[in-house]
This record gives sequence, C-alpha cells and structure tokens, in this order.
Amino acid sequence: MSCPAPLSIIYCSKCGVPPEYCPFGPDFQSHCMPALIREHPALAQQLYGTQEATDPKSDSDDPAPTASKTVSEETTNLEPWTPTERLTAFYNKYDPTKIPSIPTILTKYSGKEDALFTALTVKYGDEPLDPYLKVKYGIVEEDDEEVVSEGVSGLKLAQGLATKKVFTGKARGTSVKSVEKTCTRIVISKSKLQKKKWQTIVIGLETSPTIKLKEASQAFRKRFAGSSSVKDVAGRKEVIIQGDHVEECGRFIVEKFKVKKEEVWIDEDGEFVNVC
Amino acid sequence: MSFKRFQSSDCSTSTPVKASVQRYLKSSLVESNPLLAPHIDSLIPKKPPLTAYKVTSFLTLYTLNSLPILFETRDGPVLPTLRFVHQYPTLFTSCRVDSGAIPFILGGANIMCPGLVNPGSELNEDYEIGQSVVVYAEGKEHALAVGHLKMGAKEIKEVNKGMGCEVAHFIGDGLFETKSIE
Ligand SMILES: [Zn+2]
Repeated sequence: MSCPAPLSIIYCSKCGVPPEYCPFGPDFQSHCMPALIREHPALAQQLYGTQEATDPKSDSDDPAPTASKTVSEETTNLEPWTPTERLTAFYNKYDPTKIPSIPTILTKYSGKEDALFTALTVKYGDEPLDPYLKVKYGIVEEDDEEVVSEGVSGLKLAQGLATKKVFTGKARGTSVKSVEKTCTRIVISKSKLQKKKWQTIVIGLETSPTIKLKEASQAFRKRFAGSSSVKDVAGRKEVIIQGDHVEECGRFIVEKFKVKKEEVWIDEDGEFVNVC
Repeated sequence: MSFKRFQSSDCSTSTPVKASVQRYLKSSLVESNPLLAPHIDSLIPKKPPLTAYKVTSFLTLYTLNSLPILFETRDGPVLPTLRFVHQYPTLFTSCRVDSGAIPFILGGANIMCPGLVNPGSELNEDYEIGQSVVVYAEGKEHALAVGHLKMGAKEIKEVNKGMGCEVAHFIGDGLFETKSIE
C-alpha cells in the first residue's frame, strides 16, 4: 500500500501553533489575527467568520477593473489598502474626475506615497479611513481624539495643528504606545479668476507653530504688493493672494517663517512638488 | 515528565540508532497505532537510521533527517511528535477532549477524566490502560497533545475523576518549538 502524502500544515507565523489554537495564546489579538488575515485570508474566514479580503488578483471573474472599483463604505476589506485603493477612495470622495489618472500619479509618486497623501489631505481634507485600520485599531471615524495611525499620516492634518497619534491597539503582550507629534504641511496652489488673472491660495499655514495667519497675510501683502486675505473655507483657513506668486510664495514661506522645505508643497495642477 | 521546558540544546549527544532498536521502535509504534502498519516502512525507512538524542536519563528523542519524529520515556510508550502527527493525522490512535479542556492542556496540564467523558469528547471504550493516544479537541481540526492513558477507557468513564491521560507533549511546548535538530 502506498504511503499517504504528508499534509502540509499552516502554522501561525507569529506564535507557531496551528491558527485554530492561537486564541489561547497571549498575542492572538495583537499579532496572530492580523498576520492570519494577511497571510491566509481564507483560513481566517473559515475560523473566525471574518470577511474575506478582496484580492484583486483572485477575483478574476469580477468584470470591474481595479482602478475604477469604487470602495464603498460597507467594504470590510481586511487587507490594508494598496496605494491604488487608497487613492481611489480618496478621489472618489473629493474629485472623481481624477480617478482615471491614478496609475500615472502613483507611478510619479512611487515610494513617496505618504508625501502625496499628506499633501492631498491638506488640499482636500481628511482621507477616507481604510476599513482594515478601522478593524485593526478599532478606530471610530467620527472620534477626533483617537484617529490617525501609522499609514494614515495625513488623516487629520487639515484640521489645525495636527496631532499624530500612533495606535498599536489594545495589546496584551506589548505595551500600548501612543506617539504624538505635530506636523507642518503647507500647500500652495493657484486658481484662475479671469483671463490672465490669477490668485494664489495657501493652505495649511496654521499647521506651523511659528506662523500666525494674520501676520503671514500682512507679510504677503508687503512682499507681493497686492491684496491678501485670510478666508475660512469649509472649516479650514486659506490665505488668498492676488496674482500668480506660487513659487515665490513657497520660497518666501521657507525663508521668512523658517518652515522646512519638505513641509511646503506647490500644487501644480494636481501634482505636488516641494519648494526648491 | 514533559517537554514543557525542553530546548534543543538539551540534546547533547547524538547517536545513530542501531537497526535492532529501530525495528523495536517501529514495531512498538505499530502496536499502539495499528493504522500505521501498512505505511510504517515508507514513513520510517531502514535508511537513513534515526538519530537518538538522550535528553535526560529517562527520555530519548529520535529524529529523521534532523526532524524530531518520535520520543520514548522510560515508563511510557513510544510516541510520535505533534509535527509528525499533523502530517499524517489519520494514522494514529486517538481520542478527543471537550473544548473546556483545551486551555488546560495548552498550559501543560494532564487530562482529567471529565475532559474525556464530557459531551464533545470521544474515547474508544476498548482502549486499555497505558494506551498511547494522540489527543484531538472538540471543534478543532489538529491534534494538540500526545500522551498515554492512566486508566482503561471504561474506568475513565466510570470513575470520571482524577487524571485520565498523562500528557507528554503538547502544542507550543519546547519540543513543538524545536522544528529540527542539527
Ligand atoms: Zn498565533
């Protein structure tokens, strides 16, 4: 009689036991469960009835191409979003006309995605929250106190002096760390008023601890010899300067207010470049 | 006796197993696990010989191509390691504990009779005292321990009190963590 082939067994990559026994270990919530969901979504589904992660490669019979896939509120995708999904969700919320150009944008920002998202959140507002992080960190979207975690660095940046909290969850084995720091993010863009008439829009100035909005507006007025005003737009402060001063303004902010170059972006028609 | 605090560094001296000892190990394994009989020679071929590691004066571990597959205690039967059992789950004599017993076993405890009697458990009435068993658990697919009965199955059901099965090796113990020994 021939010998049965040995079964290949899945052991937990974190604690080493067959995953069905992970709940009896101390690191189940913090380590085993996230790893299992990432590495063996089907088994996670089978054991814990969690929603299966939608892997774009595996659902080949899904006629919708990935890039145009709308990420609905109900999606409980238990893999972290890929940059494509993250950006799709973002533009889906703020500017769906940009969705077709997502692949181009991501190629351009390859490796610098976090900078892209940071700049985007300053320009448009909060990022839609990745459901994976909601599940992983138990984040409640409405709760201003507890949001923002690793990977969502830009999430709350548009709301005043942003606080960045890194949540590591309610771990039993590991101590809960919560890191706070402020991030300065300034984005300068321009918009056309009429033929040959532009205005320069500066947002995020209040995220710098060294800048007072009124003083900045006055300084702009002096520097660019034109009117400048502070406006309240959708709960955010914008400083509007008449005329096209985007690049000069960027350099001016860096020199005058001692803001780091990496913290100031110029929005060139949807593309963010750091001040040079 | 258990592998609770076992480390691979506890295996100081290794010796190739003599052909006669290897035959004895295989026959005693087949005796307590009859389903293994047709496959034993392909699972444990004559060559290469197993390697024996004396862990303590009363515990010996056997590896095949560096993988621990069997062990033997002075008073107990020859038992398979759990990683070996997981590969061939249907070939070993087994029992099942109710789900309430799982945390105790994983904590290193022996199995008390109720764990083998309560609803959800399974224990073949024909098992006699000393029978080696691979221990499964209610609602779980994979075996979580190996050991031998301290009473006959009938007695366990009648008495339903005290230790019913002595656990030698369980998931997460030192032997389980030792995937291979070089
Ligand atoms: Zn685990």
